[in-house]
Amino acid sequence: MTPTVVHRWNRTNSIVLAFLTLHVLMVIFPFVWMIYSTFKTNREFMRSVWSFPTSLNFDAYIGAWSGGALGGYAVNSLIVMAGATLITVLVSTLAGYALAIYRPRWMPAVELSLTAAMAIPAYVALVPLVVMLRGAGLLDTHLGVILPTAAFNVPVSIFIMQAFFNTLPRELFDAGRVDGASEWQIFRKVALPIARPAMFTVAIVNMIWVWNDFLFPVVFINNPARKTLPVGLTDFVGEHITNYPVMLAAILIAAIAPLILFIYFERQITAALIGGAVKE
Amino acid sequence: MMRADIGFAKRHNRAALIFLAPALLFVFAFVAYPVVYAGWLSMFQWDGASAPVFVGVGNVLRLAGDPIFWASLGRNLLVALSAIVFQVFLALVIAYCLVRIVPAFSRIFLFFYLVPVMVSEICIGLLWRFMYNPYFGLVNAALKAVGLDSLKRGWLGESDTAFLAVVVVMSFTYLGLYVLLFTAAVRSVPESVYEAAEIDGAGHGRKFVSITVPMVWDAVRANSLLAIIGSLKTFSLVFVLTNGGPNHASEVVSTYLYKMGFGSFEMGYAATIGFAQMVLTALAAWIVFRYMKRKGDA
Amino acid sequence: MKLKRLLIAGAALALTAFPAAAGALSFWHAYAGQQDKIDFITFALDEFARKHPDITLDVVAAEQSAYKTKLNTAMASGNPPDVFYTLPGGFLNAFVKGGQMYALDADLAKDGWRESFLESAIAQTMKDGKTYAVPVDVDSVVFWYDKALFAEKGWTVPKTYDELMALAEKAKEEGLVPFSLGNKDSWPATFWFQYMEMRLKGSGVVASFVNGDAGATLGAEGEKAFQTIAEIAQKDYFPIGFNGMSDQEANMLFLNGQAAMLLNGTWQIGASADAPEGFELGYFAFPSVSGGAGDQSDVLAGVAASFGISEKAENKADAVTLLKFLTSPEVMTKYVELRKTMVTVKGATTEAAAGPVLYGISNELMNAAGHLDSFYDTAMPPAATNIYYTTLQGVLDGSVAPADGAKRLEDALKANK
Repeated sequence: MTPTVVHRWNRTNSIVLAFLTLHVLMVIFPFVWMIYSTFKTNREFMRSVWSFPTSLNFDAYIGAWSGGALGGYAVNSLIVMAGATLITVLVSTLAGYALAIYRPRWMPAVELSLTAAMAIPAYVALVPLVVMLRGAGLLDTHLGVILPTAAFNVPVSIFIMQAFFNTLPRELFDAGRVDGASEWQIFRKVALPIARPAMFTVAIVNMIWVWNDFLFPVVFINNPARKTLPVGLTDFVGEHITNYPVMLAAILIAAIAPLILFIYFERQITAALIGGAVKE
Repeated sequence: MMRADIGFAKRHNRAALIFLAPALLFVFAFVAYPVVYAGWLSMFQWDGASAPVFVGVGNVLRLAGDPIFWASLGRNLLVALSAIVFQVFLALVIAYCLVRIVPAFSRIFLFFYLVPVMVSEICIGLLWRFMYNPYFGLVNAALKAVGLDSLKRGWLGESDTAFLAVVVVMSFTYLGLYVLLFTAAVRSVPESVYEAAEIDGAGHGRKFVSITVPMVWDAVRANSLLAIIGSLKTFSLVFVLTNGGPNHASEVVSTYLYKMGFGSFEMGYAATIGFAQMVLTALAAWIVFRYMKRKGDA
Repeated sequence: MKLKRLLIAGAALALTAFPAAAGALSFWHAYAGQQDKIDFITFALDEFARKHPDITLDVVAAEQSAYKTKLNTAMASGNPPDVFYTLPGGFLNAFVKGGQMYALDADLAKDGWRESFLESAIAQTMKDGKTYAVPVDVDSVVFWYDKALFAEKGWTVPKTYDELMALAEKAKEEGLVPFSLGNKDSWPATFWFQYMEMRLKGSGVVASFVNGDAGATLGAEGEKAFQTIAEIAQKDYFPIGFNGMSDQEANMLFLNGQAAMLLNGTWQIGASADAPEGFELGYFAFPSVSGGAGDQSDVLAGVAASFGISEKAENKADAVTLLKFLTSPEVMTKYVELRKTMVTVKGATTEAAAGPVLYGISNELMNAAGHLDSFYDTAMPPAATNIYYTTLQGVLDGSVAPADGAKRLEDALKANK
């Protein structure tokens, strides 16, 4: 990793650093503002929305936590996120591998179908899905959200995996074939270990999508005890019209869980990337 | 392309089918089948409650002459275009800077860029509503601070700025994802390639254009595709920020469909809007995909 | 704490009720997300369980905005709950048209149930001579102001439209926003249009469209009403970017003393509870418009919520028992006390339960009103509502001419009966 050509810090570096810092501050400011605003009282907030709090006040968090059932929503979101991501990653790794490695005559048709599926917005399927899920007894259950959510994320995930497998040299797999390994063994022993970092990337992307997903949970889940966080949050925020710090605290609570998850995963991604997985 | 060894071909076909089966099953059950069902619904006038009335191509004709639909679709395309420029391309530049120019800070910057990506769009939208508030918001406060009072306006509430305001939020929100993906790609470019260029006296601009971009072209393709698909499906941010208003000025297809289906309860027409968007975007995606594929193979 | 208990109860209920036990009555309501709503429904359901231990309820709660989608989806897929919360007007009428609502008239005729409701209220849940839901609460729209601010500036409450405009000009000169308005979701501006139409032409305009009257029309007054509110917008009497601000943001301007007045519903009382120190909420009626053909004492007031029974409900007797219980004076008075909202049951909006402001509106303004005109946007069919909303936004920002706006609305109202 260490460059052998010695790079001296010069003006270019400083300018780039300054611009990046400015830019990243713009990106991050809403969150910084959100965090310090939660420590204000509502009256303080009403007086000036931009000023810093005069004292640390945790009432907003108490109000948000006790008034909004956020913990329950978070658990629901985690369940849906984990379920849908797991399914999508497993299914799309297999399929992406197949798309990259095998070239039967009918493969372009499959590719085309998946591309078409990728362009289909979830709304098209909304009412039919409700009817189907009800028939299967899955309406108002986590599984009822997980399955269609995963299905809608599968095509894009497949193409990401395919792009990864495309970067691998074919000789890697041919060596196994010469040794007489089965296709499954080649996938299992050769492809899967190398693919792990790419699978992580796909998983992260999927987690974001599922976590952010609003449409399926809001329509498929009626029971407040099974609502996911974004849906529960809109209920909560939409109704608490008078207390802004409480509303912001609720948003922050909703945002903090995936951030913790991200901090945890970040190390793994970085490690995987340092391993030089994507392209060698 | 074809393997010389024909003996493997049959085995390959079977393996390919088995590996693809779970994915195809999912996509068929939860995407393809409901879509066909929705296509069936598009031939009916249906309020969601009473018995559907068969209208044939009536909904399609209505859609063809519906200026709001076409304007919404146009806005989806603008979102896609801006995503490629202000998310994908910008992310590539940032990734290059992070990896090649200020590597010591890359991890902390990457972390911050990724914060909006991790947070749900609902949260982002609610926060940005504060940024844009004409009275309490930072955007107008910042303009005032630099003496541009005349530019102060009600960003989300005026027909000529509402859509722009939404697109800006999108750019800030999704950028980090592409920075992450590109950082990985840029890091994977071997150091020796750059060293060779540096010995020739190449600056950052030249190294970026002639080394990084071609070396990470696969990632550019994948990320552009992601950005386009995401743009065509965009819903939550528009929904929270402007709900397509004022008077359809920031309407995209998804919010229009949602309004028709679940505001006006015109389920049949909503299905038609979705169906039309699906057909049109599938076509567009296919063209882009093929174009990129060919370019990548060349 | 109460909420926690409710959630535990809800979870327990959900566990025992899925799949719904035979004989259980499914009950959907929108009393969720907000503490006063939760307090009310907790009280009502606890009491019901105590008084009717033989009736098992399978309760599903959703927050208002999500509720409409949910109920409609359930109705669309042919799986309606037995008893449910519904908005009156176009939303309810769509279900009535689909033959999905059970007519309550026979039950209302017994034991003086019908007589216990305000006649103007129960009229709003009727369609073609039959009653398909029982009304629960009434919201009414008035001008709100901060008494302390008005006293400080020496302003008096305007009685005529001209006085209102003069006051607005004064407020603007003082650097205040005369009328706060957060029209992102379009309903807040409907009050302006509707009151102008009521003052210029009279009450019942949209109702006559909905009832299918042959002579139903907005009249030339429709254009005039659009024209008038467009002028208010042009004079910058509304906040900058009002079409993009939410009602919450408009409230912030108002409560924070940056806006002088706000035309809004009685829910403003609850929204003002956490106002900065010194803020004192006052109200005045929408002023009279000289030369207007309408009864100048009319008040915009509509049934906000009602309960109905699905035609498919297996046990209608139990369902009626639940409705009767929910609309009993005991539960309704508690409703007023907890939610600070007027209710449709006679005598339940007491001064003790309602507080002075609400009681004043109920007792003085509404009792003296020639007519109560229900909310246009909920009375008209949903498709027309959508057009009404976007037209209003367009007229206010100048992108739709008042004449075109009036025509768009009139066409939309005629297209759907």
